[in-house]
Amino acid sequence: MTRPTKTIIGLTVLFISCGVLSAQTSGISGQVVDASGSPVAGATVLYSNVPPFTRDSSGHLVQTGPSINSGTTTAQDGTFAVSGLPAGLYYVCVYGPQSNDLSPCEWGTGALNAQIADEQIFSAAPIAISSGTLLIFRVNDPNSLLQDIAPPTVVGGRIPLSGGNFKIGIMAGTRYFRAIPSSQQGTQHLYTVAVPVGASVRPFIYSSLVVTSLTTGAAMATGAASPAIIVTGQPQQYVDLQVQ
Amino acid sequence: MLTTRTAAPALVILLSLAFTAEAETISPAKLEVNLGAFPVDNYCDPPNTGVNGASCVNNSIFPNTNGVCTTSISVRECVRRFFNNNPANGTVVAGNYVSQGITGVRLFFTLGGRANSTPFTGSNHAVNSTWITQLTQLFKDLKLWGIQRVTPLPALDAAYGGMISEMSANYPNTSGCPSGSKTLYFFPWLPYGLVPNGSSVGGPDQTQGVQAYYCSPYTPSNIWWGWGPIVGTGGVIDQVLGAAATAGLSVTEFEMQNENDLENFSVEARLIYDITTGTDVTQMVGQLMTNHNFKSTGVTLSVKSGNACDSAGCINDCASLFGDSARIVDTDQLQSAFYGGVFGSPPYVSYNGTMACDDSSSHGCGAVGSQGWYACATKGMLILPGSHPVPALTDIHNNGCLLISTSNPSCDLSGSVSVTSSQTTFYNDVWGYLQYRGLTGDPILFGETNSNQPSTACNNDTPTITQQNAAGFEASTLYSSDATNVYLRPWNTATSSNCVTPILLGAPNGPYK
Repeated sequence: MTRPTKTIIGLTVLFISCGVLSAQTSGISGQVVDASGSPVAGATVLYSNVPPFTRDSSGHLVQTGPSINSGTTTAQDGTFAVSGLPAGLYYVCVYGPQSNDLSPCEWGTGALNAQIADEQIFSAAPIAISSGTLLIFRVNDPNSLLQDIAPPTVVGGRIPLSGGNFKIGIMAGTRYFRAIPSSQQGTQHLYTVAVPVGASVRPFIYSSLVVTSLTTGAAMATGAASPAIIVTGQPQQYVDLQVQ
Repeated sequence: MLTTRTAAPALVILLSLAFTAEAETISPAKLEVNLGAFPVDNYCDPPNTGVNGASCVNNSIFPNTNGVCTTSISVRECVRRFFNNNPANGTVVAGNYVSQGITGVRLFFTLGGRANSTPFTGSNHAVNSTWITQLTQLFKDLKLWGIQRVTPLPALDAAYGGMISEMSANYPNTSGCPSGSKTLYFFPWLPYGLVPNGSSVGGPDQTQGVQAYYCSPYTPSNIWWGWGPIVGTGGVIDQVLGAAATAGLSVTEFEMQNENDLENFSVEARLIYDITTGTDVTQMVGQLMTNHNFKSTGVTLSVKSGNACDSAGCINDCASLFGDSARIVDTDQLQSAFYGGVFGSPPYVSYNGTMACDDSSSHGCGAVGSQGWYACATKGMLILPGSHPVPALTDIHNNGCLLISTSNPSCDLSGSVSVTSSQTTFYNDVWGYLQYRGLTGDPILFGETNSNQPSTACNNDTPTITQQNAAGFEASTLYSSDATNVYLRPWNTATSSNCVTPILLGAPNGPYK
């Protein structure tokens, strides 16, 4: 995906500013940019409200207003606009189109908090996404033992909720990111997760199989975090494992 | 018919003349009853006193018993009259729960002294021996009176938990989380805070929406007890399970929390895997179940069902992100979280009533199951580290009402539209879920359902809706295919003046007969 040049942001910034402007309907507008300030086309912008709840006399939580979970995609100039939203607080998260893009909702300072009043458009400051390293776990499975837990596939129109014997991800501090199964090449399964350059992350494997590091020959912990990996500045970084 | 082991008021004697023998319920499904938050502190007989000197006299602890209990009898005697159906064991009143065919009881135990339950002593958070003795006595009594199963659950986050502190706590130092602090209500046994709602307690904190699991402030260390007093060996759950085992009651289900809602409150997943302490909570409770010879896979958290609505533009059913009916999306959310799959609010939802219909395909994700659909349709959702014991039972709370409209999630109590058809659809959906997810043969519990209470203030429903709910169940494929594994637990709060106890639910002519 090609990203527009900085000249476009120069034009768009004319109407992008922090604050709330009057409008016919309530909504959110803004622009997604990369670390250099260039607009990002094709970014996913997700927004959700905070639906109201109260408790009844028995202590049960009762929802008293609507939930809203939806999204849109940025235009070539990185801008987005959503209208027709009821007033209220919305959390806005953006996700870049590249596999190594890092969302500020997961790696930055968090979601944009957009407090929308009636008949107003919340105009957000540019939201920046950054690029990281794609950490690739190459898992050799010579005996065809590996079956993914929670595979990102759909069977019979349903997302599977059982089965499998292997799941891999990373812990970054107390936050867990799953490495997504991306492909299989022969006996090798590839799992990818984007992480910031220079980050210290710990692989977290859950498996009933024996998992060994092909780099050190040591068994990897399962059901717990392994020793940290320092992420280099390369676009891709590999971790080689074997299951048996 | 009636024994006079203890003196019974005239009304009770009159009712007892109409006593009927134990009868089958909505056979072969099982009928149980909710009691709400139970006053364990007072479960005793005068001249004794209960926990911390609590009175054993009913007074108005059970305020609406239709004359079954006077204010002067003991709490224990009052509960006896709710259940006992054997004259050899004391007073028998007509319409007692055992005579109706009820075989199980669900009750909350509160943890901080409110609602007359004080399980902990002093500063070391040990279980109060008097409290557990009285609870054991209750369980023994229930067994004696004919009850077979008990579902005790801790009131972890309800407003009647007691021992709550309002304070400011910092956001965690976790990537993706804001800086600063937030004022919340905290309990010492809950690893997250609750939002203030006026002068009362609202729901779990929703800081950063779906990211709340990570970003909601941790319970401050000067408040938090750690998991030991709750799920550790010798902790309150351990001793409650021990009490049930001692009494000879089965614990088919141990419900860790009431009405878990991971779609709106991802922070509640800390009760499965507590990220603040790295604790696999339900696995620990499962071990306690095993230690007491109950099934470890009986540990779960209940969820609510979604409701359709009855105004223009409403639909009766739709598919959720997971592919099952959106009526049971919270069931999928919970199952997926346990399993190690995605949970939390999906990015693209079209709400209809309180059904979260999948709307991914109209937002550029392509057809369900197509290349790239999963990544698009689950973007931003969370996944717990590892995988956790998946319960071998399902507990759905279902108030079978139709909502007023897509934008007004209040039950339509006017009676203008029957809920029977909608409820048949719901139960059919549940059967479809059980079939597809390989859970047939496992218990399917409707841990709270329509109450048959005359006051809508008890359960936000009506006797008419209760009848229609039961009719909807009987017309469903769940009933025709799997009724032996179904447990129906109509809601009741025995300590509330809004609810009549005992209420007619089963035999001879109740809605779930």
